Amino acid sequence: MLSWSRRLVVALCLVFAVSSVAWAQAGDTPLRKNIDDLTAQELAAYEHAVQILKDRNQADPFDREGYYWQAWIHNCMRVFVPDQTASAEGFNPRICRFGQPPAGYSAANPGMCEHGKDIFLTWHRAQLFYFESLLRATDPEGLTGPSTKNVAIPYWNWTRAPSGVRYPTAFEDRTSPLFHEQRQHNKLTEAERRRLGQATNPALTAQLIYRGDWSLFGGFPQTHPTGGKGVFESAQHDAMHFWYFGPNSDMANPTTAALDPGFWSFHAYIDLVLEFWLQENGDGEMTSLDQFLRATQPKSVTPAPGHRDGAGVPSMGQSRIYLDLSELGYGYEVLPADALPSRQALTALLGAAATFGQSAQSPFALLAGDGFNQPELGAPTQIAQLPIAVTEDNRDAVVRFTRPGGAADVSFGVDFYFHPRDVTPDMDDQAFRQRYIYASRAYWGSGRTPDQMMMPPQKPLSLSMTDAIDSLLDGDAGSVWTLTAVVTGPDQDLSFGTLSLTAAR
Amino acid sequence: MSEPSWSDIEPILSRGVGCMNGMTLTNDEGAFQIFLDDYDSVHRFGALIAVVLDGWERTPAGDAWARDDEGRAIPVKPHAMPPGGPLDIAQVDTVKRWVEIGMPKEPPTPVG
Repeated sequence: MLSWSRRLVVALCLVFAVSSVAWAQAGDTPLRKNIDDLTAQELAAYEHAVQILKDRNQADPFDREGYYWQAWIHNCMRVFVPDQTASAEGFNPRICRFGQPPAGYSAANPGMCEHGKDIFLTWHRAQLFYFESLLRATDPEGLTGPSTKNVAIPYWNWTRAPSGVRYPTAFEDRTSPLFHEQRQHNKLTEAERRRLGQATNPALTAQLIYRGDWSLFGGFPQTHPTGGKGVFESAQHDAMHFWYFGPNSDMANPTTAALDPGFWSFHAYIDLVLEFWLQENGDGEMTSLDQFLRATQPKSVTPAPGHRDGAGVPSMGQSRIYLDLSELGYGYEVLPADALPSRQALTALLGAAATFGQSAQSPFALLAGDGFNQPELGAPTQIAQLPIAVTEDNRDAVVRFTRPGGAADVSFGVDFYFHPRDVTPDMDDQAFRQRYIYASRAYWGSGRTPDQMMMPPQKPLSLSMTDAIDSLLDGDAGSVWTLTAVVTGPDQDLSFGTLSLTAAR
Repeated sequence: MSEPSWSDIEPILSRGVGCMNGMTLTNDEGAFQIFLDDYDSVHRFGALIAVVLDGWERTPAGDAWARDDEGRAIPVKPHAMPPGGPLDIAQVDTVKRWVEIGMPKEPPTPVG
């Protein structure tokens, strides 16, 4: 049963949503459709293409036009390629490495994915561009199955209730190449559905897009001294990866995620969100558009228009060549139910929460729910608190939740509740959570210890206090509130992380 | 004290050679394999290297790394390096200064 706020959002979507839009050129441009709306023939063609990529790995697991290599482009900075052709029998594709290869092997650099920075969205768009090109080239003449020449990666709109038990029905057909054993398969419980409220609610995405703040939505340049992920990556993409698919799934780990064929449709919706941003805001605020996007793609794929490798090793070209779908040769068919809530709908929704803490539901609760921590799913890992004065000085304050150096790189979520100092937080009290939740952030980790990885596991989660402080300054200036951070993740000791406040971005 | 040059920086970065060398990083010029024992490679990504090495919280005085209750360093910037904890703060300050002065390869020529 949907909460009243979600029913309101859905109703407003239906009233105000943009009518069906096909963002594509006229003629034969393949359109990425909602996977639930594919015709049987379209689905069969997509499955046929994916199966061919998988079959290539039976002959050579390291075939760059095969499924494994394409998955490694996301998953692996480095793999060790045997000097002799590897046997496919018993081959385990979960083989990301770092360091130097042993004798009898050569190092190769498939990828890897760019996360935690502003090229997160364009990098994944580029990856899907190459993957889709390979799919179309598998059997365009239809010699061994349906023609693949117009195959387009179907998107899974994970902000809507699944058509299957937990996923689109196309993912749950055990005879399909889209099925993957290493996923959680049970129906989402009500508590799980509430936990994933912000990840699966399009209203939060819409608010980010209409706000038009690129770094807030899309992330920061890699040399930025403090910034990293955008909120869309952290609060939605990350949480979906490790909670929706299950903590032991391939999607739960950045180094195995793309082995799950659901990865492509999952990210096709994320790519559609990038398109929503571009349609609403253009690319004027986007940063790092000249940065090159790493990956070792097969030479057989025609690169995107405007591609050049630049200096150094081959790449997918610069971020800026991936902004125009008409240049890239695909489009989207967006049905009303897949459109974002309109500005009017959001304004109507948020009107009830003018001053933070005064309404039964905070703005975040209205948009997205009451946090990752749901009592039925277990006690939180850690609760940390920080007093914050409602002052002009703190308007630009940034709260940071960090993990200690040397910690294992586990996934977790943090709910931030902001409440008057004399209010005692009660995590079992939904009324408290609904009233005072300010934001949530998630961190997607690899599960490894530092000696097993080349990147540090402790990327801090940041949160601006500006919106809350602004809301309170008129009526409550000078008071001291408390920020309570509730960490949800694996069982850890109480020193799981540190909550701190810095004066400015 | 003289300004740092590559001969001061190379030993500081040597700890990362085993795991980082050969990995692919990108910037506005292209995609490159990084080699922390190669001047040209480090020069290309010097600003990024300085940012990640300095990605740990400092004490208010700025001359030491802050520690949590368990004595562990606190990363405050994305991709703080090395993964297990920061380098000696004086070494990080040397790298930062080297980047600030343009990453010279050779020591400055004495005047006079």
